[in-house]
Amino acid sequence: MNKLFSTHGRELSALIAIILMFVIFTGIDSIYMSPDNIRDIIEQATIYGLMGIGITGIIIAGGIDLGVGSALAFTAVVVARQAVNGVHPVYCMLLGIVIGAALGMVNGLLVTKFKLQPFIATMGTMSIYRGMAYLYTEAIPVIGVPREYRFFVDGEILPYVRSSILIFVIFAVIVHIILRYTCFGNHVYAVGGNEEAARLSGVRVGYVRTMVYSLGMVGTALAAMVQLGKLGAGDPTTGQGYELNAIAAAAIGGTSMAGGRGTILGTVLGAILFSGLKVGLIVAGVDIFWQYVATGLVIIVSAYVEVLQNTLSSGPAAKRA
Amino acid sequence: MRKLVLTAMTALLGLSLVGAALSGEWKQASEYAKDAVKYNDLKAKLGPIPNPGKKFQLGFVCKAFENEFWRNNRDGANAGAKALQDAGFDIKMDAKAAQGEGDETGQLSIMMTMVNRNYDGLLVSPISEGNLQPGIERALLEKNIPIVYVNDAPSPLSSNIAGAYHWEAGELAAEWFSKKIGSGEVAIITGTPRAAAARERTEGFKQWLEKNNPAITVVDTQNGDWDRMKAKDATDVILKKFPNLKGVYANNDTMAMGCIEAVKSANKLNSCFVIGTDGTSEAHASIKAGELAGTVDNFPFYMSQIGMELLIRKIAGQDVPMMVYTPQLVVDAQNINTDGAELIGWTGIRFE
Repeated sequence: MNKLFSTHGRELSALIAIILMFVIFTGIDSIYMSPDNIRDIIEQATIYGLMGIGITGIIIAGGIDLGVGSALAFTAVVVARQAVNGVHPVYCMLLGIVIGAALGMVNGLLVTKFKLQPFIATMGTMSIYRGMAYLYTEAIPVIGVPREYRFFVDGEILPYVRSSILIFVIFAVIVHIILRYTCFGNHVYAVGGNEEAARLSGVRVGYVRTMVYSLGMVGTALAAMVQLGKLGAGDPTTGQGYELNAIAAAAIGGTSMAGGRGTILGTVLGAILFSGLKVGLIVAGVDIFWQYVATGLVIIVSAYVEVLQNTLSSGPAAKRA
Repeated sequence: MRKLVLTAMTALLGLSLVGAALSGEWKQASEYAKDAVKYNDLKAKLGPIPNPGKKFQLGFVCKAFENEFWRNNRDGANAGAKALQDAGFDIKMDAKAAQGEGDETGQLSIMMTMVNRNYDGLLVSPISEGNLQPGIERALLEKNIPIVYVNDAPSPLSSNIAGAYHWEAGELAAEWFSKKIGSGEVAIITGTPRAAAARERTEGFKQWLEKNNPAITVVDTQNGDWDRMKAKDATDVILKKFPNLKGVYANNDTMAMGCIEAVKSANKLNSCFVIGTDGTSEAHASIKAGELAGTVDNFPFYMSQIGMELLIRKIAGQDVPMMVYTPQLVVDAQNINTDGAELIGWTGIRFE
């Protein structure tokens, strides 16, 4: 048990938080535990979850991406236009993924080749991508996304399971494997942990950074395409402020903003905690102004749990030394 | 030392309060609300517009053209100018917008350029309550350029305003539900709570029902942040918590389109009606398709033309009320195919 806690402490505490949340909200209103409601929670975790998974890699590598909300809008409107024009859903998906990878690569190149601060570079592309979304649509939502596309990305393929959840799970597993079991993944952690040391030990820092931005934005592109399925319209104004929710999902799940630490499982749990909270506050009938306060409290408390764990786990180790 | 700083700060605060109290030039918009006039009531009273008999250059400082509402405002103003040109008047309209609704200083430079070029009158929709203050002061106090605000005005108010009465928009939606469902449960999806439009529409809706039809209860009010996805997510949950829900009122049409998706996926299109606000082209298309039940249309295309009429009257030296509420009504399946001008009785700007 101790060992489990030291290797997966962050995920465990997120899990405990989720269980606690379920107990509390179910106590307030038992409808919270109903299958329909749980399905809502998981379905509503997919958008921020997909974005959060992508951004987790970027943050682990010591970066940040503020442009994901705008990139979400741009990808959504381009894919929406193609879907409306009758392009097959599979090609739509591929196109979206390519767009996401390209948008992410631009961010990555700005950070690595042009040596811009990630915060500034992605703030710039945030505005550019938003502008592109407006230019592409003349700021009119693309409506009438066909049923085939919507079913492909968000259809109920099994009872209680929508394809969007499968997309979410598959992307999480792929990124988890990349980060955990590949050489590239090790380099991502190394670059975020200590860039200089990574460089000296032969890691191609620029390459790793660029690729992780690209991979990260694929998550946002998937989120855009799922959202398109849920809404049936590509809205160029969508995604404003989503970047903060995606970052929050990663942070709640234990990703360190300083880089070098974080897991995909943690972010998935963070996204579920986040959407569970949103749904719970509605079910519990909490006043909308208090919902802001409650959301902020959850972010702060869960960050503080991480600080507590660090002091607790470093305590005995220090004694042993 | 710390005491000194504290005293100095308190003194400064006191001074600024006194200063604010002394500068009686500007008045709170709410002071005028009680004397507000509906445009259609005013129209007959105002009488004909004296023929100016000279060239006019008007300006319109818009918010941001990424929003269909403001584009409609612009198109209306241009159409109004075009109609007058066709009738033989030399009246030009120059409508420009900031780069997005966050570009407060960009909007100010647009206004300053128009003021410095001595335009004859300005229509203005400030992004925030204070961002155009230097331009407004120069126009009104230094150059005597008349201003009419369109839809939004700075607070404190310094000139006339033509706009939809948000409170009335909420009331109209409530009245529609009262006629349609008579009794039962409804929910509200609000815009970002800091926006006056969101607060007033929501309160107008609630209070109309409390006063006029308590058989309809507002069982839930959730924040949709003007966002389609957030509105859908919230509606998804509300529909399960209140299975007998008969209606959703959304503070704008973008959110209403999200609500509709939630209602559709719960297979409740025939038992739960969604009413939006604004009258976007997407909302109109959805009403025609039999999905959205209706929208409180405030006709931005005609709103700016009413603002323009008031501005021309001011230039011609006529007195116009400080607050003029422009027409709005619920557009639903019954009247979706009727032309907007006909619905609100707009006949264009006419000179004697």
